[in-house]
Amino acid sequence: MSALPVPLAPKRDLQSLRSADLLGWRSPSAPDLLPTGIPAADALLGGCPRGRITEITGPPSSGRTTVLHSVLATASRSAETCALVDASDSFDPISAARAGLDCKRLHWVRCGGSVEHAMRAADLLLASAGFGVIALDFCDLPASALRRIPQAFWFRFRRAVEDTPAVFLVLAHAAQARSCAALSLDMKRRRAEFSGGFPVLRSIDYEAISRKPVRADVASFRAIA
Amino acid sequence: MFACIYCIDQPDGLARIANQFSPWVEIVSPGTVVFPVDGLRKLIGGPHQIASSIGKALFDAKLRRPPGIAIAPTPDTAILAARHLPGVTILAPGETSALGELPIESLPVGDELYDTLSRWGIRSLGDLARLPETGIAERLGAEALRWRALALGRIDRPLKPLAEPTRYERRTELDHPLDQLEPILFLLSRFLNELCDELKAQSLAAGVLLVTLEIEKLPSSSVKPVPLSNQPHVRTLRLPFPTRDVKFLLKLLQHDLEAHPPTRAITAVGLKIDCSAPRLLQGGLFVPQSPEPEKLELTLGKIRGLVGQEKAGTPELLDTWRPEGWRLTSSDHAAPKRDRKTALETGLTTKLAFRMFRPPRKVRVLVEAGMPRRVNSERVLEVAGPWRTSGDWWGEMMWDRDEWDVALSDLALYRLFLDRRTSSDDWFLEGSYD
Repeated sequence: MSALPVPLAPKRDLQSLRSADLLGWRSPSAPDLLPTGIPAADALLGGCPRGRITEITGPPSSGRTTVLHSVLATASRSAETCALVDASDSFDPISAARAGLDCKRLHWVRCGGSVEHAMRAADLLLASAGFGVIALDFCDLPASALRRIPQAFWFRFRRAVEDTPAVFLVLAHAAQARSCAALSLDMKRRRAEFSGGFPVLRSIDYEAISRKPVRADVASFRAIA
Repeated sequence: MFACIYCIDQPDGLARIANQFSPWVEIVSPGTVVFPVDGLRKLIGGPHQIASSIGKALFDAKLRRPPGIAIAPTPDTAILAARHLPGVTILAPGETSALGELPIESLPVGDELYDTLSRWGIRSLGDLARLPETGIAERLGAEALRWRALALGRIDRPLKPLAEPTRYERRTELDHPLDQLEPILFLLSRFLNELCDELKAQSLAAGVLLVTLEIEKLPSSSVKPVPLSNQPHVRTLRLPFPTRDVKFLLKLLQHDLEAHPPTRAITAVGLKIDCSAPRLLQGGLFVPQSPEPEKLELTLGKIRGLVGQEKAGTPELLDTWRPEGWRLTSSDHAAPKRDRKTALETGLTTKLAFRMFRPPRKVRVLVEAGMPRRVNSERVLEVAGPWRTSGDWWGEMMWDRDEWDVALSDLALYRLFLDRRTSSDDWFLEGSYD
């Protein structure tokens, strides 16, 4: 009886393998995106990357909180759990609910102006996996207080959020996470429309400029009362 | 053998009297209790002595009307005899002659069956007992068969005793006062292990934890005039979901006691658990991942310890037009469920977002022609208003104000309001649009 032919194993062409593969490194795959809920911004960026830091900066009344509310509303509509670390205790649940946020899905941490508490709370939330959105709102804090945050914190946050499905949003007057952010939006206010009756402020036109990745186009949108 | 006491004079105290003879007491109806008396033979004597003892206990209770007492081989026979035969009745096994004289009305038979038995000339339980079993089964069905068995004293069933509500509670006195948290947690851990085992045996879970730490009494010479200084330190933890996970419960207690430590050393530790039905969760394939409730509650506990107990939670909107019409509640750990209605109803319209100043910033406002023209040092570039709102005038939360939306020269948009409750011009910035 003749033995069954044994299939030969394919020759491994080591030359064809990249050095990165040999060392066990993997090139990062494109992250999933969570739509912001603002059609113009979604058309430009696709949404906020999951497992990455998204930074939204701009001066007061530039639309940072509008984007935050919209992202939270989108996540809560998909039954995702959200957390907001409100460093300056300025979150308004009423206007957020008007934007479509399901308040039952939000865990709100009021830090009363303490940067230290806000950073530690964000650290704890990032360690508790399962959130859809974790937002860190530094908008109304003075720049002098934010300058004292060591850059190492942002590297730590970037690592902590990396393998989670969470969108980590950072809102501030100026960039904080810098190189650790995968998406950086700079917000600007264009025009506000007032009226005599209620609501007294009818609408505001905003612009979102993508600083990272750099995009030539600008997302313009209108927020109405 | 079972004893039954029928006494409508003292329906509430009957169970207590019956408990003097047996821990297993079934309350059949108000005024009727039945309990086993087999174990009393050596203690009291035969059925006559037992009946005499029961009668003496009832006599001590000073009843106005004579109660019915019966001792019979089965609970239902004892109940029937106690209810319908006056005085004391003792039925030996197999003896049903005393029941045979009872009218058929003493059985709770239905109207239709009663009419049939009346037409047949059946007037007493003895008449019913003498009917052939097969014939009754063929003509009147299973119900009549059951009544016949009862008339013969043949229905036996297990007793349904009144269960004493179980208390999940532990307490220990300490030999020496403890002023550190770790040994107290060690004791609490032991209590939790024991209590959670008991809860598991009963298919229950912890709903509320009540920790009582008795603090060291101050010596009389050093007692300051503080009336509550020697009160025990009591902490109540209402769990957001029922659980019997000892590690999780211990961690929660640790966070709570770290945030609210007792004022002095501890002399006794007590733990009480209010139980509830365990949590049943059904996950869904298409439901997004959410944080594990235990882990989330621990995280929130740590955050509350950091920022304050009332500073973290889930906002709940109140049914009011009052500014800041919301309250912070403990987080809801219900299983996530997609809300299709909300998703469909909420369109893609972007809404204006508002940021609150807490508390509102008091400002100086220059008013010209009834409109604000300058806020502190900033010029008013654009303005709309006023929008007058008021409410809750019947309570302490009353508000009454005129609101303006203003664009100032610092390039931000604010909501400005004049508080009309006071006569002086109290202007405030409530927040900014962003």
